[in-house]
Amino acid sequence: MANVTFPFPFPEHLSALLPEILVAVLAMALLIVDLFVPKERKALTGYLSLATILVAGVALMQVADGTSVTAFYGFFTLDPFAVFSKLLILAGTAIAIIMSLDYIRSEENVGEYFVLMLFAMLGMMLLVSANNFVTMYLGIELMALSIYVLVGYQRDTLRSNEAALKYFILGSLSSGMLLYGITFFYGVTSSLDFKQIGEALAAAPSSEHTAVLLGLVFIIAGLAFKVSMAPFHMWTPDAYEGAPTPITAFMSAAPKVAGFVVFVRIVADALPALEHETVMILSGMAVLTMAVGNLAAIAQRNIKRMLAYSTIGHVGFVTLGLIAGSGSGYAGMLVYLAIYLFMGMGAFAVIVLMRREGIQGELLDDFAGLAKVRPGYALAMGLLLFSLAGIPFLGGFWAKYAVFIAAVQAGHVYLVIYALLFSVVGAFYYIRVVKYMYFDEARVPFDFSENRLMQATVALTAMAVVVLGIYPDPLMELCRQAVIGIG
Amino acid sequence: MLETAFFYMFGGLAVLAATGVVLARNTMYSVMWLIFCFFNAAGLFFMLDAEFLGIILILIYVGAVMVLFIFVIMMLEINTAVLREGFLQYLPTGGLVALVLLIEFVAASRSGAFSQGAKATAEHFGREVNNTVEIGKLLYTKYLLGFEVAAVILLVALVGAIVLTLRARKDAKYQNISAQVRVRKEDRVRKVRL
Amino acid sequence: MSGLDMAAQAGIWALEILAIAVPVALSVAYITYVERRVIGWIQVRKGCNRVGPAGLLQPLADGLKLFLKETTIPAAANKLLFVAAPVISLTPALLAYAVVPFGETSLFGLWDKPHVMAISHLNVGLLYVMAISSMSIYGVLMAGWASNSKYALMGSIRSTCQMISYEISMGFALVPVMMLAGSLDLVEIVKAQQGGLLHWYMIPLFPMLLVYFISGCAEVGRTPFDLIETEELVAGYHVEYSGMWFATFSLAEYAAMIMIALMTSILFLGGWYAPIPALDFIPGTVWLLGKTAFLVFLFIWMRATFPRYRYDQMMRLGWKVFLPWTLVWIAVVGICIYTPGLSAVINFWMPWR
Repeated sequence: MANVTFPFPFPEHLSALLPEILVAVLAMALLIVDLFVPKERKALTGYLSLATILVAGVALMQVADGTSVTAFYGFFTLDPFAVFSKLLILAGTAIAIIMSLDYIRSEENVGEYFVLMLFAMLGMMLLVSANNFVTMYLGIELMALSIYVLVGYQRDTLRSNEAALKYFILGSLSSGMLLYGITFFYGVTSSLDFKQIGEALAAAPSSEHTAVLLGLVFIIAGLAFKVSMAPFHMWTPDAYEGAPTPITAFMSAAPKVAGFVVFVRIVADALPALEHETVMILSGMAVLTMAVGNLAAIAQRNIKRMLAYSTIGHVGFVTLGLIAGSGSGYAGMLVYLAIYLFMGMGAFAVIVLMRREGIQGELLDDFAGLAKVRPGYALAMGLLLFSLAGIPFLGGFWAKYAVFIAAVQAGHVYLVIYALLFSVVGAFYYIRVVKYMYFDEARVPFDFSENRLMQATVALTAMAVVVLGIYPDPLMELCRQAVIGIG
Repeated sequence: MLETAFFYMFGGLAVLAATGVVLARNTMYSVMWLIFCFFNAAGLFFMLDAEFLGIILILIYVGAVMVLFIFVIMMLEINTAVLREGFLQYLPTGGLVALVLLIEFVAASRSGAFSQGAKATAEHFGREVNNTVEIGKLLYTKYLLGFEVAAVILLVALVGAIVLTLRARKDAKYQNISAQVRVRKEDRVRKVRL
Repeated sequence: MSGLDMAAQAGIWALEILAIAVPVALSVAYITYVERRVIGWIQVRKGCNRVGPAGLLQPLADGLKLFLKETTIPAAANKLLFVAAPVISLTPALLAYAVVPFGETSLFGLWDKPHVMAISHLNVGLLYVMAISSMSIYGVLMAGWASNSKYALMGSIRSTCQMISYEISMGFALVPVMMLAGSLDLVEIVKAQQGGLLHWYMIPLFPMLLVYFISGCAEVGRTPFDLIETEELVAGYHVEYSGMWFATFSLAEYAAMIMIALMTSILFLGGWYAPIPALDFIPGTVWLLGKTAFLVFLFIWMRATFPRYRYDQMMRLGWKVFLPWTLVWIAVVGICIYTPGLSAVINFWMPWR
């Protein structure tokens, strides 16, 4: 019929969203397929969600052509920066799903667990492609909402409930702050697009920056909450401890990548006119974050709590890259986030392996004597912990190196000295675990659930840490390529 | 003139209602104040010719969200006196944050970014401009991505709520209505020879 | 606008409001009478025929009785909300009438352009009606909570669940109407159905008509959905109310019932248009009120005929039957609108395209 027109012009460059669309459609399909999977074979849903991630990864490599594309009426951007961080997010989600295959078996409604992880991943993928506040906020909400539910998944465990509730309430508060901050930017610049805001702010008289500053404070607070930067880190230890361990691993890596990427986009695109203020606020927070993370970790007896504080400490180091700014700073951040993804998740994977009948395997004491029973596990854990501590010629060392050099180049020498000090403090509590594993006697008998896929994951992450430690150049080069054109 | 008067009426009542939400001793009264606050916010929308948003605010928040709030309050027995015990303890910190915010607000509002004439003022349109249609056009074109993502968020909320609360009960009795309807006389009635 | 003009305008508004509110109040009173007579007739008994000729003064006598009865407030009740609840429940029921167009009139040729007979001609009229009627829940909730009695509380939770559940399918049932009419303006929706019976939305949207009308029945808590006030469930949210306050609740219920009937006529039955265009010489208001009266009769008929639903059956009907129907029908209408070939068919009901 002649008078029938499609109701709207078809969005341009829709193909840039292919991975996201695939994930969304396949996750919804999985939700339905799961209804027909018998209860005792729910791991099938897990494998199917792994396949979904693989499909998304292939699609991502297909649409990524090294250029920067803006799609969907300018609400979505696909550049090498986004592609690299999306690959990290896909990898992190895949590792977390592998960790969950055995872990979650005893719960009800297992199928939805994997689907929710896919939706959280979708949120993060949108978040790293966000070039304006609308996409950013919706991406954050999609990610956070899925993770709130995942944290509380063990609903008969009081700890899990408490963690989910705390995370949810504080998370909603931070979303509110974020939105409130956005309104100030919109009020002053009449735009939600990062680049347009940046241009409008550069053109606006400096007196109007005062109004934006209030918004800036709120936005930084909201984002700092999502990446658990002090003083907005309070939820982290409780949520990490209470959540199912695979989810803890997931939370400690993937959302941090997404959060920092969008942080970079805001700082680089929207806030160049306010660079001085931004750097000042972020420096203060970085100092506080490094101190809180590394000092509080020493006092922890529960290894999940300890790793939670260690995550906070690492977030502080990553922030240095953000402060250092364009070029090497952002590249250093990406290097750090990539390496941290592997070593952090590897360490959590070992904790998952430690869980057995009646014992969570989360206390430091549970690790005593591990080296005599399972030298392989102990070796992997040792390597990962040394890497987290930043011992030279493991992956973690190069991560810190990349960020610190960038910060020195940008002239923040005092910050780097301070950070070095706290990496030494941090090394103490990581190495203490190694001491437990190698020099203490076992107090409880070990009998592990054997899962080949899990063991392979642990081995791979440990190997990645070693390989990256000896030969970090390709990764560094990749990250340098990815951030070209940012800022 | 009349418009300004109405603005101050709605705005003032909204602030009053919001204060009431915080200060009311009874949780039920807090919710009532909140509902009142939403009405005034809807009034402000109407004054901006955004009647669709105003009505939707009432339909969604007053008609649905607040009802669920009241539901929860009715189910829980909340002792507000106990809840208020920590009030004084946190007052200094909270007060400090509020004070800093207030100073920042004053600074922001005096910065000139929001002063009269700094932004283009909107004109009132007549009935011929239907903002429901305009919002619809924008939502399904320019903001389509956000709209779709919001839909996915709602799906996740739905799935999450079900996952966290659904427990398959073994002892629940279910009624199979189609089986009941399909039943025939021969299935139930048996002639007995006496 | 001078002060005098404003005063005149205010006076006109007051008259318009009176012109709507008084007939509504009167018809509510007499619908109770009609209901009793009709049910009596259906059940082969007399109904009220003692007070006045054919019992016509019965509603007045009832009103007088309710006025004179003692109204009690339970000692432990929250007095403010207890008294406010009936008012909260009556107000939205009456407020919704503000946007209902009762027809178009040129006042016997006095005006050169026909005016819409509505207090307010709002271009989001449909949403307004939905928003305002959704607020009637508060009266129920307040009544149950403020009574400080477990039966009232449980009754109010029960009826709120019912109202919320059916409100969803009611809202969704209206989406296809909006899609076909292309407007939220009640006048536009009626005008889109101009041209006789075949143009009425009951033809393409018949399932939605059923969903809307039956959900409306559940929404106002009429039989077979009157679990709100069943005897075996200890009467529900208004157990503690007596006298005039109790009467206010029934007033609200009947006002809401007339509203559902009016909206069904406007949205699905062609509003003020006659089934055959040749009959349009009869004033539109007569047609609209006639359709409404028929639907009200249908409500009464249903009350006399059907047994009450059990609670789980009622929930099942709302969530598992009506909601999927509406969703499917929205998809069907949407697909029809944008499929070449089918759109020629559906365009018959979309004159604005």
